[in-house]
Amino acid sequence: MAARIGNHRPSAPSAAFWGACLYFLVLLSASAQTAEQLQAEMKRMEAGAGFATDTAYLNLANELGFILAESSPDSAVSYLDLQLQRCREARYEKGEAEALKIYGNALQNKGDFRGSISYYSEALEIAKRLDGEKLVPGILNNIGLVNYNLGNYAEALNSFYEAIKGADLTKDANVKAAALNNVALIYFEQDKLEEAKEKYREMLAIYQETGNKGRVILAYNNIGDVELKQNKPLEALKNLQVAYQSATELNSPEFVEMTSRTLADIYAALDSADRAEELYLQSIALSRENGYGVPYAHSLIGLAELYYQKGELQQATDLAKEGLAQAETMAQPMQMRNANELLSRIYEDQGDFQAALRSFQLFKFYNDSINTSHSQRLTATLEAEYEFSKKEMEYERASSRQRWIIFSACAGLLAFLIILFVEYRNKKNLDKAYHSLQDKNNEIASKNEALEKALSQLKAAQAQLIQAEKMASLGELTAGIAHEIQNPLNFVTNFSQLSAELIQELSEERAKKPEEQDPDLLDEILSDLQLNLGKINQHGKRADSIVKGMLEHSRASTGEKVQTDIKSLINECLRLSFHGLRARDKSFSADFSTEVEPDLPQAQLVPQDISRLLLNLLNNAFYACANADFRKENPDLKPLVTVSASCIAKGSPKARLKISVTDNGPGIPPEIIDKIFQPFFTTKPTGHGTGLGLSLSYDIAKAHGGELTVQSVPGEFTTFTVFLPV
Amino acid sequence: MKILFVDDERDVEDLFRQKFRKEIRSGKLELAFAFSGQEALELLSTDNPPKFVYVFSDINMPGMSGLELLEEIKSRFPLIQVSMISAYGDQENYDKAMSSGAKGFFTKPVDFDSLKKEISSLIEDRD
Repeated sequence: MAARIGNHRPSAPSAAFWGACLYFLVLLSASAQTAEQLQAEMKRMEAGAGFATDTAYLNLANELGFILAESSPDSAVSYLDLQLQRCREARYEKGEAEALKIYGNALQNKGDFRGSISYYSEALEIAKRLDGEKLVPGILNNIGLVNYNLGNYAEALNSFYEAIKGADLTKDANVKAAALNNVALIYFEQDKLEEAKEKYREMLAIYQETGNKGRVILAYNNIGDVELKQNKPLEALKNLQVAYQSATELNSPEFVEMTSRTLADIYAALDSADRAEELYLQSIALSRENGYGVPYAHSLIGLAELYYQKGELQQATDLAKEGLAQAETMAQPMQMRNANELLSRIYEDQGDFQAALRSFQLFKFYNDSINTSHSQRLTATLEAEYEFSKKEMEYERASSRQRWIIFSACAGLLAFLIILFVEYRNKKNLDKAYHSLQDKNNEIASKNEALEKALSQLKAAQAQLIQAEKMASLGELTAGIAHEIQNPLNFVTNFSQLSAELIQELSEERAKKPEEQDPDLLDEILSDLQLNLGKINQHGKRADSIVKGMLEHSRASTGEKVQTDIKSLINECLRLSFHGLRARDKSFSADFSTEVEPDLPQAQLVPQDISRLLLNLLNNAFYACANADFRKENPDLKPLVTVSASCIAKGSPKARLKISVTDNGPGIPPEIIDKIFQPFFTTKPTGHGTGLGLSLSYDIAKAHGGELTVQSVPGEFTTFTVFLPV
Repeated sequence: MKILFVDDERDVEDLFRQKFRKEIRSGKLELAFAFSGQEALELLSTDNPPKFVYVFSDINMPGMSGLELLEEIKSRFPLIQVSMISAYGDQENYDKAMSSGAKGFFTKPVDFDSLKKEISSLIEDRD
């Protein structure tokens, strides 16, 4: 029974008391000045004229009033009467509201809840008129506390809720924390201990953030209270050791009293009677000294219980009676119930059953009234809670709506910025792409130009190469040409000489007498003369043809196709080639033969091109089979070049002229036979061939709509065949 | 006296027949013509010993060249005299011909006088 009472008792009064204290601490921490300092400051100001209407002075006076209201509420009352009068005379409304509220604090600390609430109401009325309503949340919180102490839980909760809302608006973290503390009190009352602890922890977080040591102590104290009620005295002890230690360091009577009282309850629960006694005594001393009514009653009754446990009944009786008297002054049914319950046990033990019965009846009465009022409170609380949560939800909805609007605006702005950024990037990318395209276009244009230039240069180079090749082959041919001109010239010379001699002879013969003349000889001479003139003419034409051919060869091709006698073209080329090689290489020796089909049709072609083609093929053929190295290696082989010409598919539109040049040289190795028509490919030593002969020959055949092919068996023969349209 | 001319140009025949008409008529000179080295060797081989005493040969001919023919004649018919008639009167050909045993070296166009002198001296030697 004792344990139940002990466990049950301390929480509500201590929390209620310290809830009321909160407001004072706000100012105390803000000014951080002691009563002595304030009094000195005020005295200094009182020396000046009109100090009573100076707001700075009145503010200081209020601060002092605060300290007095908490430390000695009795003396505070008369002090505050004067302060109120001064503020009214000075028409300083803020100061007046402040003074009224402090008056309410003092009365509440004295236990005059009804008196305090009228002062608070008056203060609230003025505070609401003031700009910013900064005083309102604090006053509401204090009104809530009074209502709580009076058992008006619904009104209390409403006030606390209004206080939290107001504190959020005015960004008053301290008042918010105080109101949270008081909401936690109501959870405590309802045995919602975990929820209560959670609110206390929220409060603790705020205080730790604002760095207020006093209220950190309060938070630890209240959390310990809850844990004690949860029957977790060891956990409670940890929190209270922190709180008591801090309170001692802070050297604040209020906090030392509070923590010592709670710690005493914990030790009592842990059966550490000595420590509990010591701490109760500390609490009683401080409460008596500073006029803390409710704590005084609490600790007296707690200590009485300890002495009863120890069997010291007289001391227990005295303390319990004193506690009961104090509780009656404070109109505290809980303490009165606890005191009567203890007294009835004591009287019973002492054998005074009449007194025991009286006390028990009183205990029963207060217990019932507490239970009744408790259940009434609970009902009211539940209703209030419903209203409260509704309001809370409205508030949250409103603030969440506001938050939603702000969030939407921010999101919209962000989206707009993102779109703007994306657009900007897109534009930049487009610009970049456009510029790089332009650059590429320019690059392509300039490359094109360069390519065209290179192409025209290549064409010029090719033309030069062709010309060079012509000149080179002309050089090769020079000796042959010389021979071929020399020979007819020789005949012209010799036949003309002979003819002159014949005419001389003829004259001599005719100078003879007619009978001596030899008519056969004359006939013979005349016919020879005729023959010779024919020969001269024939060889003159032959030389002429050679010279013309040479000129044509060196000239750039006109590309004009003319009817050409293939047989004579072949013979001319063959002789040119043979004698050309022979002239350049004295050791050169080769045979050639031609197999030309009779009635070979004339062909429409560019003679100088085809003769160049044939000369190339013939020169190659003679070179292949009759060059010095090859002959040295094959001394028994008779170099032979055979040229054959025929017409295939005669009479049909597909009729083709087929000219083959075959040599019995070493043949062409299969690995290079594919390359021989490529420009600049040559097997001759450097400086002995341009490598363009066969390439140009191939081009000539193609340009005539014909073909140039090659067949070769290494060690046997090589045949180049050109097919030309008839 | 039988003389052989070797040249791939057939008109040479007319040239020399006219030139030595009198000698031919008088029977002092008999001319034969071959148009390649091979043909010349065949002609020379028809009689044994050959009736030809002198061979005039061109150098630049397809197949067997005049110089090759010279060497062949000199090895097979050492008694037959051989002279070269070439369009190319260069030193190399000349040296080659002479070292191979040629009697004379004539350049084209043929200087009939010197040729006639050569043949005349030949005839006189025989006479």
